[in-house]
Amino acid sequence: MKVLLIEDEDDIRRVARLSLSRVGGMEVVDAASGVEGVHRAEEESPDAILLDVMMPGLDGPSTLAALRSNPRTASIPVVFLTAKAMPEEKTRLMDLGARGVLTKPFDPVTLPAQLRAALEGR
Amino acid sequence: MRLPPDEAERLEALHSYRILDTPPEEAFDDLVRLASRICGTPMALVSLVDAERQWFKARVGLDVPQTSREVAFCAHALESPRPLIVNDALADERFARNPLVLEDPHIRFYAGAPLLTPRGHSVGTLCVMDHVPRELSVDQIEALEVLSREVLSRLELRRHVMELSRAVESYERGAVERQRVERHQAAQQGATEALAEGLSVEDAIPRVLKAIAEAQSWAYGALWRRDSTAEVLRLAATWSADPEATRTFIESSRAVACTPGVGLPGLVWEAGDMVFLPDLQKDPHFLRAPAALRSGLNQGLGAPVNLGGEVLGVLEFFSHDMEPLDDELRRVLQSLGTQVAQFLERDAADLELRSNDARMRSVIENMLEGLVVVNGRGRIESVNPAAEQIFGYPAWEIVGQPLKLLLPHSVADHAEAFLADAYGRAIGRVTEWEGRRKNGEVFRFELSLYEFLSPDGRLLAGHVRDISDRQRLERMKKEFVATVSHELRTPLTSIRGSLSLLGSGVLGEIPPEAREAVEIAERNTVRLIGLINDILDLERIEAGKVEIHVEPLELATVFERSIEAVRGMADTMHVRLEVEPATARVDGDAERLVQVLVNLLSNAIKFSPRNEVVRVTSRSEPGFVEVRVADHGRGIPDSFKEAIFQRFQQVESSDSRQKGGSGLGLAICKAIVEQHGGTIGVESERGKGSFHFRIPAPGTRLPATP
Repeated sequence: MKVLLIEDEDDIRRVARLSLSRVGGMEVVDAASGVEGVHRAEEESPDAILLDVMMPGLDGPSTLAALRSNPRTASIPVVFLTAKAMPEEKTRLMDLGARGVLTKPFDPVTLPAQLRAALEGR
Repeated sequence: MRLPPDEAERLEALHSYRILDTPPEEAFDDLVRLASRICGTPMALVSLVDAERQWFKARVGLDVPQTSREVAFCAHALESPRPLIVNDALADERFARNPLVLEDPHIRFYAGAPLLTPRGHSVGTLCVMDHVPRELSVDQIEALEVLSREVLSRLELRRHVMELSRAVESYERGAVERQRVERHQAAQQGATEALAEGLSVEDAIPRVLKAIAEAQSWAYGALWRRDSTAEVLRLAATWSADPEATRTFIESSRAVACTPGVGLPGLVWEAGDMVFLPDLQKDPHFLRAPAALRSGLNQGLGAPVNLGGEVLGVLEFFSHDMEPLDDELRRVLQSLGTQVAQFLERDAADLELRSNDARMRSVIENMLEGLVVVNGRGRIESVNPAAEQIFGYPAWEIVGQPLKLLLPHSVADHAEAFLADAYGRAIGRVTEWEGRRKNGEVFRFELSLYEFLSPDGRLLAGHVRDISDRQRLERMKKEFVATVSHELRTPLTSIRGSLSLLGSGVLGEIPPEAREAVEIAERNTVRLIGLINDILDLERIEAGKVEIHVEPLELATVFERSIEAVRGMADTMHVRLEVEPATARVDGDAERLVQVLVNLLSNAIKFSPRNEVVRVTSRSEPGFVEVRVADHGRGIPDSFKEAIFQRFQQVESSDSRQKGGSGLGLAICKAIVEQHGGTIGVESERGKGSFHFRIPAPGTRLPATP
């Protein structure tokens, strides 16, 4: 499984990348901004996208909208990664068309499993 | 010697003329000259006969001013109202051996007409004499009688003049007396007016002294007043006709404090009565004699100022030439003494009031809280400087204005309702309100009200504390905490993730000791993240940023989810969980109630000894549902039962290290429960603890208190 990880914080991106690849055994491509993420998604056609919500420039929801507006990326399932764990925030993000919402801080040991669960709609 | 039968009356009549031993008078001299001429005799006299002698008021031809009555021809003439005629003394046995006949002046002839008073008493004679025997014609005798009556009418005239002048004199003396009375009255009146109009001792007493002293023409007056603390009299006020002259005397008076019996004031105090010192220089009691001398004062008078027998002070007066105390002056000074005493008492009471008033005023002026006094009609009666500053108005601009000037426009139109509301809520309590400054800014203030009665009716006093700065600071502090916490969270997430990956071994096996170090680092990172999350959570709840979603709930669901969350922890700690099935329904936010219960359960588990039980029960009471978590931990000391719900309060400071936890869990629980309109509490004794929270039963939930 190929996952595109879009996260502006370098260290968090690296930890998540290690978690997904080394614990989850996934193929990981990453991007450090929303704009880069949109390009990478088009280039790499990943099976899923793990998308940070709070980013400078194009933030998570705007990136999602950009992905949805492009037919080549419109159907790739997107799971948000957010520091705001409030139920209303989760609801808001799901309403934007996300497949799931994972919260930060995440446990890298369980992150791949959480991502899989979200993608399977659990 | 034979005396006339009316001798006593005769002498009285004679003395009433007050003529004896007076100097010669021309009128009488003329009459004796006339008698001598008419009768053709060389000698003539006006002889007045008293008890011992005959004395000559006027005389012609005779050198001696008087002779003894024994030898006097005139003494014989007193016996008859008719003239006594002795034509030849040697031939008359009554006079033949009379020394005046035998010797100088050798009288041979004598004719004397008695001086008869209107009542018929003879006081003497008008007589003519000769050295040779002779006779008088009937005309001459008649002329002598006429002249004698003339002498008497002179005497009578003289007596009338004297009586008149005595009457005039006595009248004049009466006028002096009247003036005296007038002076006393002036003193009395002036002093009474001064006391009635005077506002203070300094103002009234010098006028009183002036009124008394000026009326009596005294030079100086002073009031000595009892010092209430030390039993002495001290100089309280003075008046002087010539201040420059009495300056040194006043100075030396000021330097003296008199105890009873000491000095003029002390003497008066001791006696309780007036004291007159006629000569200050010689008086051993008078201490200020040298100064008095230099000021030209030599007599002194002191009068007590007393009320109900107690001497409150002494009035003293000095001058150069004082009349001694008479009854009238005594009465005046007595009455004024009482009036001054009443004034002093009133003044002392006023002084106390004024000094209390000044103290209160100073407290009000200097207090940091604003004070606004409003009358029953909703108008501002007074404001203190702090209130001026808070509302931005100088006092003169708002005193008398309606209170709505200080309220936001939204409530200003309902100022009466505001007052009623404030009256109901803020009496004796601190409550929060919004006010409006002069520049229009609306700000929050704390208000506590109290009501008091004044002579002007019912007044409300409001203590106003501007809390806008405090609120701004609190807001800034919270924002700061939120920002910092959020900024901390991102790097901590990376650290925790990295450590977790390392510890899991997915990045490759690491030596056991390195693994241990990584685990320590990870555990502490988790704690730190928990702390930051709790801080953020609490701030958000308290700031009202977290809405709770209240819906009807089965309490059982909350129990299930909570137990699920802590079961792993209980297993690890070897603590048993016992849950009584819950049947109640509540109105609440499921997520948040689970958060509360999980928190209470984690605490209970954390502090329970191994193999002990943590019990969760619930019961429905009228109006609320209570959930209880009981453990067999070490318990909570009584002194901590309130504090435990405040931030960072743990029973032992080592708890957060040994047992983990941020110290914010219970504060968060309290915030959540209160947001539900409920309460949280703890009962505990050693070895047993029981936390509970109460949530209003469905349909009874009250709006949360922010």
